[in-house]
Amino acid sequence: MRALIVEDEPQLRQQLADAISDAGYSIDQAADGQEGLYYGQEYPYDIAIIDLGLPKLNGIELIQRLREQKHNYPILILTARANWQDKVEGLEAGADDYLVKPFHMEELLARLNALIRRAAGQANPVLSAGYIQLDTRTQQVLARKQAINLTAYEYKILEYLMLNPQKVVSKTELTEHIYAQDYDRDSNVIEVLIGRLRKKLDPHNQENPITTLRGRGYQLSLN
Amino acid sequence: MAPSIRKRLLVSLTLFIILSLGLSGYALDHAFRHSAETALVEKLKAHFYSLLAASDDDNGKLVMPEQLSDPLFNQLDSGLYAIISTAEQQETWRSPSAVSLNIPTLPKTDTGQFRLQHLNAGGPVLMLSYGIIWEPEEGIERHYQVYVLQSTQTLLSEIAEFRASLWRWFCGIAILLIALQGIIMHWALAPLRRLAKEIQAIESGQKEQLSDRYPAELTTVTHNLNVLIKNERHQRQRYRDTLADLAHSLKTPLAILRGLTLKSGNREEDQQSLSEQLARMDEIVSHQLQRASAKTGRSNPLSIPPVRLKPLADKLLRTLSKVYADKAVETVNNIADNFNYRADERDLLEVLGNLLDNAFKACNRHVSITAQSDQRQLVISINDDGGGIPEAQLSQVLGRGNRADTRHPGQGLGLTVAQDIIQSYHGKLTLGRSRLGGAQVQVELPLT
Repeated sequence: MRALIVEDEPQLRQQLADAISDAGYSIDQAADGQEGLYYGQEYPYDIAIIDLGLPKLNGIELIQRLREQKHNYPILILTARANWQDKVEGLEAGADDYLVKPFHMEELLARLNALIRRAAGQANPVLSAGYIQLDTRTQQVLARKQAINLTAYEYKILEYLMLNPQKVVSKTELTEHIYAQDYDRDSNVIEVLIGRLRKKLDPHNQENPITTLRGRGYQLSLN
Repeated sequence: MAPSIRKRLLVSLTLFIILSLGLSGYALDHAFRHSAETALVEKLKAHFYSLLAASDDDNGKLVMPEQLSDPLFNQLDSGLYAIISTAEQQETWRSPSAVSLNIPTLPKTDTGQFRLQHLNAGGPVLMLSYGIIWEPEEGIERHYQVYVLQSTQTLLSEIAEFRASLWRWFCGIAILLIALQGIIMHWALAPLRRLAKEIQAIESGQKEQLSDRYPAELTTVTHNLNVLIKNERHQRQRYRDTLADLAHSLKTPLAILRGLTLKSGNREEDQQSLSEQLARMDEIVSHQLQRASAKTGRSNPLSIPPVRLKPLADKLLRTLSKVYADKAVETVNNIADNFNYRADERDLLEVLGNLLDNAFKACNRHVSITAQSDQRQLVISINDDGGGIPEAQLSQVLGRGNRADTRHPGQGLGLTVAQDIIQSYHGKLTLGRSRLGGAQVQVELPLT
């Protein structure tokens, strides 16, 4: 999952970045509204965390601009002003949820998780496809009720595919959602990761959970 | 209360009209009477001279002809009489008209002097008397008294008639003037009435400012009032902004500190107590900010524009439906379109936001909001179909930071914040059981 953090206070931004990337997200950081708008328009995020009190372009305007340009990923606003006026303004501008400062990181992560699932039309925190279950809260994966050990990147790829079941996901899309923006897109690391994932999920080559569509991408083909 | 301007003007102008009309009536009456009497006296003098002209001498005595030239002297009880007597009051002649006239005593008048006297001789009469010296060519001179009397019956009735007609006219004029004065006053005081109405409209929330269509005498007042209202609004806004800025500048450092407690590798108890203290600081900041802004409540109702409730509730329901999208809550907004309330919009957002948030947290599927109002108050009720608040906990729930339901995250301040604000508007918050099965929260807000 790829997240955008727009927060002007450097220390808080760093804390957010640390906590969110520790939770398995790849992240981009912006220190003001202008920068946030640039990133928000440029990259396909799965979620954005936006502070309302931003320099250059305030949070509300930033959200409005992103929504006007049809960037529909979920947005969580952070606000120091705990009043409903600001919450309502933010949510009416296009945000999906709010969190009042100061907040607990666990709370933030839980909200992010819920928002991403909700955006993918998955209300249950445990995603399931065929014989595979993925718990987004604990990041645990079960295949036929057996726990499977995945590396962070393998998990990210599987989560993304499971949030978009039956959808053909291109290599570029996967790369963009899993790595930060400075990643070299020409490398074959995605193919390698998919190969490893297949082996772990389907060691005996029976189910073929991930289909490769030549020239188009990958598809989670389980129901 | 001091008597109204209208009453003052009405009473004083009415008194003025009555007094001035009364005085001029009295003067007119007096002048009319005086001129009528003067004319009568002149007539009596003329009669006196004509009597003297008609007199004749008989052996040194004054005699009068049997018939006089003025027929009124010859006709019995005609109202015009003449009597001649000696200086010793010995009557020597009477005009035929005066035969039955009953005069008590005839006064003595100095020679060469006119004397006027009002008498009663079977009716009011005016008597002119004159003393003369009768001096024939030969013989001794004799003194006579000549009396000419005229009944004043006619004069008095004429005066009475004049007086009656005068006062009829004056009463008519007075009534007309008083009515006219009432109309003029109504017209002249119309701007004041309009001002009162407009202020009322501002109070009840139909208007934001006074119009500028006032007479010059009032524009200073209305202009200053408008400026006052505007300044109040600005000041409130500035106050709010300052508070919000303060919140912002305190809360971000708090968030950073909270993040640091997790990372700094402190012992678990230290982390625990650090985060407890941070939570306390946060609560203090929130609480004091809330109180400070709630205190601005209804300090000056004129400067607070009215807020329409239905769209406000709609906005909150939309917002909360988004936040609680997972629950797919079905919401009903039964507030009538025309309901509005004169309060700071942010206060209302805060109250209804917190209460609706609680309802969304607690509900299974349904949240509804309705409002009713009578002359005295507006009652907003919020219902949900959640677990409800157990009777035993109803009183505790409203304590600061207390929560009946600990399943949901949050500061637990929502209800008390709402209550603080409601109290600053002299309203009331009551908790009960909803027909939907869950909790019902009622907010009563006074309308006056």
